[in-house]
Amino acid sequence: MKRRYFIFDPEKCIGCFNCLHACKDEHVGNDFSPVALPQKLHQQYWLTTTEHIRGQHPMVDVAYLTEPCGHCENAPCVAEGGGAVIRRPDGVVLIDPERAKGKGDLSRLCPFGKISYNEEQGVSQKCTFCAHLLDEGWKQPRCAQACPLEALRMEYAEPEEMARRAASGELAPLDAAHAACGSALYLKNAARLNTLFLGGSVATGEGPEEVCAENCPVALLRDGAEVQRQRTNAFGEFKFDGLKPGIYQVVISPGEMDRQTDPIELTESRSIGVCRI
Amino acid sequence: MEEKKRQFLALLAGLAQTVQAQGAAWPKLARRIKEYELTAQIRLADGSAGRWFRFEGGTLTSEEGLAPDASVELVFKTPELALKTLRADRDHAAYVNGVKYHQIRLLGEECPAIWFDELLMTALEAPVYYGEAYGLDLGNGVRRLVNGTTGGALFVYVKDGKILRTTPIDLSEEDAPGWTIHAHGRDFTPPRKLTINTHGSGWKALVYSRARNLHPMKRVDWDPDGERNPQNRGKSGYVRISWDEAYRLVSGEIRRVRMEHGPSSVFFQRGSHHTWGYVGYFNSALFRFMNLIGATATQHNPDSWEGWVFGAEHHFGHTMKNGMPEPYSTTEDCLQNADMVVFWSSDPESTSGLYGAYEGTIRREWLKQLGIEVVHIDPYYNHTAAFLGGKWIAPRVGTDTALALSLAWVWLREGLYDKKFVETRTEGFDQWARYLLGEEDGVPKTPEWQEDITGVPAREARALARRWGSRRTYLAPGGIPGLGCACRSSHGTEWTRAMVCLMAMQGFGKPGVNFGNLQNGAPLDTAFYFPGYSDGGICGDCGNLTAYRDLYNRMPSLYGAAATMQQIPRLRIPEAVRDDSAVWYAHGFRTLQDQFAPKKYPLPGHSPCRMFYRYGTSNMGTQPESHRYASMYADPHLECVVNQSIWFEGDAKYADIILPACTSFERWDISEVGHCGGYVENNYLHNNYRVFLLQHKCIEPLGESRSDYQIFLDLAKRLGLGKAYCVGSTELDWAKRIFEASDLPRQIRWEDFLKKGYYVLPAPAEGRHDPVAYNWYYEDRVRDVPEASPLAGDYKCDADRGFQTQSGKFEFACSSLRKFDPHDPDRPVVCKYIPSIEGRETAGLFARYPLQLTSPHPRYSHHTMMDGKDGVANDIPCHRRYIGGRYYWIARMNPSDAARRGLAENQLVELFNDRGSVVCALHITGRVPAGTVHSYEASAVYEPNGTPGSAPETGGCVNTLTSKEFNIPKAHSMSVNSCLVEVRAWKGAV
Ligand code: SF4
Ligand code: SF4
Repeated sequence: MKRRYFIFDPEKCIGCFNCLHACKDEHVGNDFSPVALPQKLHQQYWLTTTEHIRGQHPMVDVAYLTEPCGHCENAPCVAEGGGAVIRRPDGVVLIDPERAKGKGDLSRLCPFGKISYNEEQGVSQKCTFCAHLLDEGWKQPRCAQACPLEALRMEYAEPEEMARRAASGELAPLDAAHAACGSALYLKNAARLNTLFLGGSVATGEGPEEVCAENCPVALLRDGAEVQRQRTNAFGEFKFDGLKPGIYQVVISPGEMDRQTDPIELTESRSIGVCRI
Repeated sequence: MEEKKRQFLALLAGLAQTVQAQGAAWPKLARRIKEYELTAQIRLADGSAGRWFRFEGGTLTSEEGLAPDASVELVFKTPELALKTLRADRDHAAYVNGVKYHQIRLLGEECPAIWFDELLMTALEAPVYYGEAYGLDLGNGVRRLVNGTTGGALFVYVKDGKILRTTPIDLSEEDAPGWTIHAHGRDFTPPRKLTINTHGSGWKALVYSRARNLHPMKRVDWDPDGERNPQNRGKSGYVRISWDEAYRLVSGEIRRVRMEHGPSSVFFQRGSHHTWGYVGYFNSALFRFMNLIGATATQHNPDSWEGWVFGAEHHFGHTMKNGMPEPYSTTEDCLQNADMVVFWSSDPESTSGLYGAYEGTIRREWLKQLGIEVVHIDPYYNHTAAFLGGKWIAPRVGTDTALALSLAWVWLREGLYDKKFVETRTEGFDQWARYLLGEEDGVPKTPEWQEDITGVPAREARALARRWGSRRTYLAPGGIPGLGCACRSSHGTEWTRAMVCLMAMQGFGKPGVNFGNLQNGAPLDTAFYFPGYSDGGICGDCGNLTAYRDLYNRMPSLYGAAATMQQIPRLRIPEAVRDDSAVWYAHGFRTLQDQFAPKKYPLPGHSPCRMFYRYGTSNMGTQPESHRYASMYADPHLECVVNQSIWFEGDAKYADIILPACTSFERWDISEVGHCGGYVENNYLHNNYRVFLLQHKCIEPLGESRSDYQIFLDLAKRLGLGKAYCVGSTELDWAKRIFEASDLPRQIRWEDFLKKGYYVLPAPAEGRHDPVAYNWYYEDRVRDVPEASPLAGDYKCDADRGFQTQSGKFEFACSSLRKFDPHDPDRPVVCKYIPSIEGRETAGLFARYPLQLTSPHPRYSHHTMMDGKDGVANDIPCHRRYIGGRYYWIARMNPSDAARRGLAENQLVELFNDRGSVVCALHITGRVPAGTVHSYEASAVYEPNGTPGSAPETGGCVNTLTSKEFNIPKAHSMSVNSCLVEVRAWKGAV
């Protein structure tokens, strides 16, 4: 049976926070019972966008992770919510405001911090997938509709199809914990968020003759074995991406003789600076 | 009786019946009918026919004939005039001409007379005015309406008189299809939606903000008949007063200062932007009023353009556009023919160019898909770089010109430039080449030379020069292109000059070589007129703005012209108030020489300002050395300060009287999405579709707030100018008049436009896209781009051939500057590197304040709009940080600088220099190089932790720290990106 999924692509997210604005626009000051009571204006977030910066000047990149509730298949909040949290046949997980009232702060039930307590309404709340709109025939929830490049999308799909797309590598769960809960939030281009880079640049010549070494072969070794190879760009730069933490070595092969760096312990993305050949 | 008179009488009888019947149908109209008890008369001037209307206890009785007791009279010279104008589809030209030549006269006291006139005209369209018969009915009491913002268009869902939601507009089947561009074997067409950006998407929260001014207010210790206590502005509290009282006080003060000091003693200032719509925009409703009372205007510095006006213009003209390059069809040419795009001080993902929402984002995504190489030159790893990736080069703040000169040096030495273009299409290259090679000053402008100045490795400058010089390259200097943080710095003039000189070396106008970054120049229909806001809306001032070119013959108007020429330069308002004097060089739109005439305040025989009428926004957030503006309010020269503002923020907290204005969601208006008109000609080319909006009045104004138009009209009535102000039109009538003045009636009927709220103009057919910018110039042809400027008289040879320069060519050595002052060290005849007045080269200061502050236009707010005000932008962790129960502005710093000072992420810190200090939340990030601090300008919150004008500022107005010096002395332009600071932990209370 089809269910609703969120797909988020960090390659297309520009970090504009239109999704936050849209969620607030929809849910602050509006009572959509029984789907949800009004959200707080400030200091309550049914979805978050976080900036992921890798590296630093002069080699840096930035991506964002936008994360609404994952409407998990094996949701702890449903299991432990004492009937206050329900999962609809289309996969939407809802906190029933009536039943959740008086149950206090249920935020502990979500391992991902997606439930928050609204003291103004005396009820715990979270993302509703804008079920009140989807049920009226809206094609996307508010956050996704406002997203300029459709970095965030809702898809209504068979679980088997999603499993297939995940197996093919097109989609990935946020992490193992989300996968274990059966989160309906999938990432495209997940490597932008959960891998490291190791970069640097190659220069040659001296004084007014010094130039960036363009098109120079550079290899990355791990445990002595080559894991990636590329050529430097016009600025003499290389950037090995998609790496896990570990010990690496860079081999620069300008021609006559290879240069190999000392082992580099990579714990966060970085540039090793200029290598002169 | 003649036939026409019979028809006239029948018309009047019908009018009476309409008012009665519609009054019975619509309670809102019934309430309006109750507002006055009087007898009104409509008659012919010779008294030969007429009908009276008696209003008593909320009922109207009416009969043919003349009533001797009529206190309001509407008099027509001929019955024909009445037949043409007393109808829902009024002939506005006939009406305006009738009024002008005393053929139509509305007699009687202003308030009741205008009330009667409005009652008749709105009753004729009662279902719209009083029955809300517009928009799309979605059932369940929900209507979907349309409105506009400076960040894009919105659907507005309304229920029970409240805004339920606002969303971006998804286009429907019936809307015109988009264009297609073919590039590299692929087809690119925009999606079927209109985007909004961050400062378009948070409006509901701003409409219902707790910071709204909902009632007129008076400062408790300001007494126009006694003590005015100017020293307490910003400190003393407010009491609520009625609108009657507010109007009495404000109109009373306007009368008093005009009579005591002279008309120009009223001085007004608006912000750089306003809530969207051409009736309500600042240069429309506001200017109309201020021109009527002869007030002294603020001369804006060309804010955001700055260096372009006083720099680049001298090489290639474009005075009407503040020195900005042509955009036409550059989107298509860039995607098809460019190998590389250089973004230089250009962050369209933050600034949206100008009013461009995220329309360009969609097109830059194609750049990414095609793998076209990009380079970003900016001291901050900006949001466009974050989105597109590519090579990041970070020159030290304010040193970009040195890097640019070294590129030119490499091109010159290595022959990597378009020699034929330089030889045949430009002048003065030899003189510039001598400077580049060091023949003039002994310093060759080599990559090594620039490395000392900019910190950019020489080999990288060399690599960039060689790559750029051997590939077809688009350059985007600034966001549109044009603008850019680098032009708002000391000698930012030279940076803009360097940018255009580089492109002249590369022969701009040939395929793949031009100005652009896909933010502008979409293939839309430019042969279709719809005004932009700088056409002046309802202002009717044909001597100002760009109305004299575009709107004057299309929209009948009267009484538009400014009654005084006196102005005060915005960057010197505090000094002008304090000293009653100011001198500056202002930009002009007509010729290159306009800016060479020095300006003075006050003008001979004119009164300096004694009453300040401030209109929204915050000087403290947006103007340099901004403590000056807060201190200014304590000056006794300002006998009365009025602030007409939607929110209680910024300058509004320093007023004697606050007039609560409403947002564009609470009034009628009309606009084209993203269109400025005039000085940013065809700015709608930022968009993927040309879209016109009838901005519905979505809800009634909140509290006692009123539309700007209504406030000005009400004040005008009390000054005996109401009839002149409205000329028989309501706000909706004005919107309709703008509609009629445009080409839109050819496409859609008014009734349908009013109902639907928007119209999408079909894109031009394939093969009919405009010619690419400057290709005419490159090929030495007659100019064929769709641009009405410059003025024909400012071409130096044949009209439409060449540029506005003396030679008509691109001038590396500027004849205009040579004539003005060939020895001006701050603006030499050829582009040079001139060290900043505040930077690493100012050694003494740099020793004390070793960090360079860059403060670009913000990403999550539009100047002060969207920031503060209890809105949602506060909760964006990249905009403000929540610490100890307050939302603090963010300052960004490199990890090494933070470590050296022992500062931690999210810690409250003080940015300070001799001008003041500002408390911010610290964000430690590798997106800024060591030695640089990044913090956006334009906080809407000014909260001094003590005496305004001197205490540490805790709202995030980093302009407290920036210098008021012009970017060159003979100008009127900011240098805010030349600012040295130090940073320390904040020891004060949280
Ligand atoms: S709206 Fe889309 S692009 Fe913008 S922050 Fe959210 S997910 Fe990212
Ligand atoms: S789906 Fe609706 S409730 Fe959930 S984050 Fe998006 S806008 Fe908010």
